[in-house]
Amino acid sequence: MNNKILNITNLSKSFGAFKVTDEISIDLKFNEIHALIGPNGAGKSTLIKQIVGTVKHDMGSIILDQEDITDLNDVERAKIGISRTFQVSSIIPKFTALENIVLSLLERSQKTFQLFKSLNSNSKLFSEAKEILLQIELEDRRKVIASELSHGERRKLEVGLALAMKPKVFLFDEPMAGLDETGTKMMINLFQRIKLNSPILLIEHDMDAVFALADRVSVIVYGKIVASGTVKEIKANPIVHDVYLGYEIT
Amino acid sequence: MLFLISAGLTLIFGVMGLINLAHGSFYMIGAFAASIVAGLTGSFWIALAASLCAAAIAGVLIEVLIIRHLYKRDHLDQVLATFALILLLSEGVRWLFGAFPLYLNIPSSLDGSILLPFNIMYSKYRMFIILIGILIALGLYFLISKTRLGIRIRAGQNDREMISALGVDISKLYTIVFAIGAALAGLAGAMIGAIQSIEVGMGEPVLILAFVVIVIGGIGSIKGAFIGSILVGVTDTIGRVFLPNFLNYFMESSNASSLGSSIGSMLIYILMASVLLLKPSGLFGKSE
Amino acid sequence: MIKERFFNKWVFLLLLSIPAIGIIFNEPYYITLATKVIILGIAGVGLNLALGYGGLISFGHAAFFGIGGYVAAIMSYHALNEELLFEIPLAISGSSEMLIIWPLAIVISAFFSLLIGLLSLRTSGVYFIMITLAFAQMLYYFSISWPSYGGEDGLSMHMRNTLPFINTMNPLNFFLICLAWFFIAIFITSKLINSPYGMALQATKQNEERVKSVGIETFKVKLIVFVFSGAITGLAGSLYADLNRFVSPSMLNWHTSGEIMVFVILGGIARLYGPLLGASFFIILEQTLGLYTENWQFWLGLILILEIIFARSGIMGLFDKKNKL
Repeated sequence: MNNKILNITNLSKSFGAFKVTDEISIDLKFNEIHALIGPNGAGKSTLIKQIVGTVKHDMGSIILDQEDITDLNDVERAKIGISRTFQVSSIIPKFTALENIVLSLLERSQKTFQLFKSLNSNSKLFSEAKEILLQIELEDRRKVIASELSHGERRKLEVGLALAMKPKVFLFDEPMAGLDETGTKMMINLFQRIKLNSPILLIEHDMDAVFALADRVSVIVYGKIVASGTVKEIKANPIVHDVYLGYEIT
Repeated sequence: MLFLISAGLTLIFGVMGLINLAHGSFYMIGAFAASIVAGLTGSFWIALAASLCAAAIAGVLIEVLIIRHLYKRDHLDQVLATFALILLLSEGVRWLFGAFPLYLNIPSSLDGSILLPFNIMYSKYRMFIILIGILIALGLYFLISKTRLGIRIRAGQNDREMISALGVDISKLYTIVFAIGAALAGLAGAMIGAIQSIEVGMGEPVLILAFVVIVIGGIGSIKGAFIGSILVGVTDTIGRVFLPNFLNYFMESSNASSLGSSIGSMLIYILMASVLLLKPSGLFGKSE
Repeated sequence: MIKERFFNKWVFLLLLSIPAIGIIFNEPYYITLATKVIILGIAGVGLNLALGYGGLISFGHAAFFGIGGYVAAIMSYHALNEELLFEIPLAISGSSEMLIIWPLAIVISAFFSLLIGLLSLRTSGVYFIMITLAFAQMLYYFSISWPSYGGEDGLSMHMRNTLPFINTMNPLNFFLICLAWFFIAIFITSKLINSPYGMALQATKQNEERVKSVGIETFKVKLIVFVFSGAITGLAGSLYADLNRFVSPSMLNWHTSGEIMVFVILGGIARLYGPLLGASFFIILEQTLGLYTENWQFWLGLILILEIIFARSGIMGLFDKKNKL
């Protein structure tokens, strides 16, 4: 009956008197990239945390693929198919790039609680992980310890971890932050490909990337969504210009 | 009583983020110092003062020599290093003073009992301890909420980098806090020394109790330490005194008293487990 | 890593040579000593699993060590008395058969670690350290005040428990039995840490939030390692009881927890053979320093502090500087 895979209604969270997210309603359709923009501290990251379940919301509901997941905890939501990247790269520092990806494959292949079988005999896991590294152009760095990867490589690895889970939706929290031009280009190409499998809710400050990628854009300010529409509509919207006063929108 | 130790411990933990297993050793040092000074001077009061000083000096020395290296380490290193400190201090004291227990006499002015309302006889000395406990609680409250040092301590609890940015000499602050914590434990040791015998290892059961208290009360909270110590004290007494009697109604007396005392000794841990089940960070702890 | 293996071989040869020397010079004491090292090493292997690989700083492993010990002692006590251990719901009699005692010690200590783990793994960090400590102390005080099995005085065993066809009273035989168990413990540990589960476990130690976000239930991951760890340590406890033919509440005391932790750290955390090395070093120190001074623990404390401040990766780390952990 509907084409929305993720549907969030009236999600609110306050810390004391301060409303971080104030009755936010937002949805994600199949095959789309929905970008979320807004100034720092507007509540974007808190919204992500509420969707993945690490921050408990005060009210509202979250429906994923026609299933109400509002009362599930973070791990259960991740299992069902929500996968995220972190604003600040969060990887397993002493694992290699390849091992990081393999870790992310474990749950989907139901191998987490294989206690005694050798990991190395699971060659399928490793070949699958290598394929993912190819997609994020890190194949040649697979044996490098994650903490020794460059900043850009770690951003890519973050996305790779999310990819490996084959989730129903992706939540990307500033995946382009600090990437150079080629890195950003690679990400843009990658996102355009993967959105065909699972749609993306994208938080990003790089406006060029947002405008190149997004099918829809929502603007969030002080915990409220003030405008929502296509890239064209948003560019023309006077409220957005007010919010981004001094911020060149081309 | 228990509060004195817990308060010192929670202060050190809360402000400096350090797990100090060796806290019980200050308790022991205080007691030994008191008994020796009392032996030399014959005065209980000088002995009390001496216990304070001795524990504080020991605190400063240990902080500067060892603890200082541990702030940036993880909990595991802190646990181990302070565990090693216990071995070192306990054996050191045994070396110096021998394994025989020492005693401390209650001053005559506090000897005997007084009559409380409802015809309850209570030892004057225990009243004195309770009084001191309350005084120290008030004093600490005043220190933390009203004085400059208190402000710095609270700032240090919240944000270590910020106060060093404000130009506060953080390592000096830590040394002072550590010394205060140690001195409180030393005083407690000296006071208890008049009731129990003073011996090596006396600090350890108390240390565990203090841990239970601050886990119940919430780490870093002095109010929590106060409430927690009352709670633990009451529970312990109930467990030891009333439970065996209570069980007497149900079974023959020898079984009842043994079962009762076994369960009684476990009661405070059961209390702690249930508090943690309800509130994983203690009654007055900050939730994560 | 190559160096570590090389080093392990030497430690091992040394350990084997001790009973050999014992036999040649007819000094069974040395064999007993080596057996003690092995048993404490097993306990350390158990703790290392939770502490080294899982990052769970348990300060309550004495509980499992003691439980294992008391299982062995209580069973043999009842076997001797020919009293029934339980009448309800099942009539269970005591036994002095190691083949019965070992599984029992493992199952019971695993059960307790499940219970303690369920409660304490809800917390983390300092609270976890303290709550595990408190649970161990709870059992300690219980064992002191429970008079049926000796209370404070502990419980002696009339005879070492037995195995079919093997005379366990022979020190060499008992040494070999313990050695076999040590290898089994090492085998289980290495299987565990090299499995997919082991990967999840080690990842949880490093970045739990990330592991949760890829859909792995870290609570379950930690609980499993805690139970394995408790069970191995429990088994070590039952062997230790048989070695001394005596158990006392001091096995449950937090000093024991601290000492097991010292083995793990001295030897080098998260290294398979580390605990054995740590235990050897500990016993050698006890024996040699103990000759010169009664206060050997004073020096032990000093050495430990210096080690923690200056040489953080344990004895193995000193020989293997490249392998940073």
